[in-house]
Amino acid sequence: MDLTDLARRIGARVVAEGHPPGRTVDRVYAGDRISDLLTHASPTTLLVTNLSSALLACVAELMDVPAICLVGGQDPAPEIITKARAQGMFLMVSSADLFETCGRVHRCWNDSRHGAA
Amino acid sequence: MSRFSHAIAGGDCRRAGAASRQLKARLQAAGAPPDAVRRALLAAFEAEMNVVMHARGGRMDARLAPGRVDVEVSDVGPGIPDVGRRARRSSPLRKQRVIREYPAASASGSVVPRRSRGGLDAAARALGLGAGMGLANIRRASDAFAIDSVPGGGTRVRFTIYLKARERPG
Repeated sequence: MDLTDLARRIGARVVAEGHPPGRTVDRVYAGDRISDLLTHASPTTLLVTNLSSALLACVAELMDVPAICLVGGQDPAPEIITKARAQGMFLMVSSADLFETCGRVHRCWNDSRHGAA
Repeated sequence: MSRFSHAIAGGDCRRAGAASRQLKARLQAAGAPPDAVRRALLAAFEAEMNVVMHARGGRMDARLAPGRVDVEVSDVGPGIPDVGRRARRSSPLRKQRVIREYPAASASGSVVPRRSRGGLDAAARALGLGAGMGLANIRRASDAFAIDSVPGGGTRVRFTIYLKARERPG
C-alpha cells in the first residue's frame, strides 16, 4: 500500500514524507506497548500507535520500520521527527484515536486489495 | 571473532537503544541474515530496556563468532525475586513487581518513573513500558537464554543467536 495515498485517504497529516518517495508497506500493526511494537515491527510494517516518544523512534530505527502513524492529533516527539527525517521514515499523524484510525486504515487496506478507488 | 562492550545508563529513555544500535551495526557489518539480526535486536533491546527501567546502570557485552553472537546484559539493580518463574511466565497481563526506586535522571518525560511498589506507575505505562513481556520476549527470540539474578545484587541476562535464518515449521 502506498503511504502517501494511505495518509490522504485516512485524513492524516504528513510530517515526514520519507525517502525514497512512493514507499509502500505490506503490513500494519497497531499497539500501545513498546514490547508489542518491537515484536511486530519489520522493514515492511506500518506502526500505528499513540506512543510518541524517543523509545518509539528507537524501535523504528532498530527494526528499519518504514512508516509510523501517530494517533490523536498529537505532535510527534522531536526525537521521532529527527529520526524519521534521518532514516527516511514516513511519519504521519491521524487526528482520530487509535480505534478509529485502525478502522480507516483497515477500510483502505481492503479497498486497495479489491481494487476500489 | 569480535567483541564489544557498551555501558547502559539507567533511568533515561532518551539514551536507551544505544547499545542495541551498536549490536545492529556489528551484525550487519558481519553479514548476518536479516532474521537473525532482527531476533538479536529484539532480545537486546528488551534486555537494554530492563536495565534502563529497573537499574541504576549496566552494560551490554557481545561476542560475535562465526555463526553466532553471544550477548550478556548485566546491571546494578535490585535483582529479580523468583526469576525462573518470572522468565517462564511473563505475560502481557502480568504486573511487574520487581521495580525498586532509583535516582531519577531528570524531570523530562523520557525518564522512567522511579516510584513503584507493586508495579510500574501510570506514567511508565504511558511510555508503553511495564507490560511485563521483556524476559519472555528475550527467551522467545533467542536460541539459548539464561538469566541469573540475586535480589539486591543485580541481574545478568545472557542469550545466543545463531546467525542463520530460523527454519519455519511445516
